[in-house]
Amino acid sequence: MPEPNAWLLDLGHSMRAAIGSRELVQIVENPVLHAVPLTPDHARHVLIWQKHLVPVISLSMRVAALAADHSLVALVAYQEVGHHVPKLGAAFLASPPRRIEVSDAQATAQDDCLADWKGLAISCFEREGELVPVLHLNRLFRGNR
Amino acid sequence: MRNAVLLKIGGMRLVLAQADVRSLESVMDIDPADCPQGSVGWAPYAGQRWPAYCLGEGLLLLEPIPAARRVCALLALPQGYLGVLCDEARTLVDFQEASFEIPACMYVAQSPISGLRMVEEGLACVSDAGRLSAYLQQTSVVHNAEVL
Repeated sequence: MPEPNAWLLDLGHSMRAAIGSRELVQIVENPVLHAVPLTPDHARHVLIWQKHLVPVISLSMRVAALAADHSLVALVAYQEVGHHVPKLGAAFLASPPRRIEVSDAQATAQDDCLADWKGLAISCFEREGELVPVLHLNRLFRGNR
Repeated sequence: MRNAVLLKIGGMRLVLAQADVRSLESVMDIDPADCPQGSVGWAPYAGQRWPAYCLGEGLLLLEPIPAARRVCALLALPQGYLGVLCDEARTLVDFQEASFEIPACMYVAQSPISGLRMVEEGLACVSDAGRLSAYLQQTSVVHNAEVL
């Protein structure tokens, strides 16, 4: 039987996205969030996790200008090009993530799906009649700096 | 390590080097007559008067002055001083530089915040007089254009 190899994230507002199974570090319920002034609408908060400062992103705000619920976040790890130590980021979730199995057969070359996610998706796949983007975490947390 | 001053502005905490904060004055002394755009009045100091700005916890210009803003911190600049209103100010002894950079995805070029640091009360934004002065000048121009 195939092993689950991805996490399906519920971002609220009927928005879903996936990340690799090894990219999810922890789910944090009712996180202690710190607002940082003069930051983009989708990246207003940080949390402190094991002495690390972690930016928390609202993907629904980033992609569709829709506010996210702040009661659950997914802590994720990603690798920056040229860096060996993984970096941490977080994203607001509307409900706990689900482990899923994604196969190559589900991959789809839907340009519309990628375009909707404004360059934040590395690919898309089809699941239960829905197109699900796979998040490009490095691009998401790299910002415009 | 050096001493620093923590300014409490609503729910936001702003940390500046102690050398940047020349004096703490009462908001009662601010004269609102004919003040520069974006400011809330003139703060008297060293025989002259200097523009004083009131910021909200989002670091946006705020008018009228909330009752909680009781202190005007006079920041030292090469060309004089500027006032920033706050609720409270206290000294942080042997304060260390910002321990966290602003994460790349949160970076905004015009922001006066140079870093973040945990203090007793929670997360604080670190800045300096030069960055705040540049930010307030730029923000005042935008603020004035919006009012007009």
